[in-house]
Amino acid sequence: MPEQILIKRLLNGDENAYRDVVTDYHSSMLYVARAIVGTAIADEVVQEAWVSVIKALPKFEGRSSLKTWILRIVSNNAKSRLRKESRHFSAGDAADLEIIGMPQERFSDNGHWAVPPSRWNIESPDELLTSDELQSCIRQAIDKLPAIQQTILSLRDMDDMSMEEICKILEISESNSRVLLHRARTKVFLAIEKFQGN
Amino acid sequence: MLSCKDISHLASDHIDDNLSLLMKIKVKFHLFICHKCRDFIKQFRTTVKVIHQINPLPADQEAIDLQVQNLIKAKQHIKPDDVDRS
Ligand SMILES: [Zn+2]
Repeated sequence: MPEQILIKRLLNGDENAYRDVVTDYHSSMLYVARAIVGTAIADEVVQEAWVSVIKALPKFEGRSSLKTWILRIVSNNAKSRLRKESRHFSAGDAADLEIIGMPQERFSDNGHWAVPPSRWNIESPDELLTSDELQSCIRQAIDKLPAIQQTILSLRDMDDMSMEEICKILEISESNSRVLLHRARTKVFLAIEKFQGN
Repeated sequence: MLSCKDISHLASDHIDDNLSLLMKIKVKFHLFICHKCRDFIKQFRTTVKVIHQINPLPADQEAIDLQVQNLIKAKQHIKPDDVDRS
């Protein structure tokens, strides 16, 4: 459905349109809220954000997609919530001590592979996903990621949003977010590698 | 010349096509001579595809219903003059 029609239905208070957007966007909204305020109050922030969305919708000008606009409202609400609690948001410094990619011990001192990646028995994504066990193993790996990495991974690799949009929503630098994305993907890579090795 | 470790750091930028032309050439050269990194990049690419395809967990229907009902209530309480001050 074209976005303008959806927006018109939302402005009219159409219950089915509400249901459609809540179903489509709620989990992404939760991810954004969690990354900024933490899991404990993310639900509350998202509920407030929905009300802000409905209030502000007549002013939506369509300069970004509806989803990006909604996620920015979540981000703004989450950040003002932090300010109220005298906390502030930090996406972490990309140059912190956590490794960027594959663990240090996988390489020798000259930077060559000391423990090269093992060849996977199953190579195609479709085949990999036929295993329920592997699916739950990947989900666990994603669940264990720090909230900000989980958010960037899900917006980028699951929701297909551009890095530019993601950086605007979270207000973090592109270089920082790319490092966080790479760390997150690497952890999922290691989970699949470990699964294949067993 | 780039090391294997460098390649492991650049993997995401490589597969997302986010490298400068010079870095692109350096990475391609390394991959040409190093089969371990070729394997690594291939599997890393597979990882990203798998993440992309993994089914989202089914949404919590009760939570959705509750949210929709809250929105309908909220909508009824918004006065036209609230709009510009949100
Ligand atoms: Zn190599």
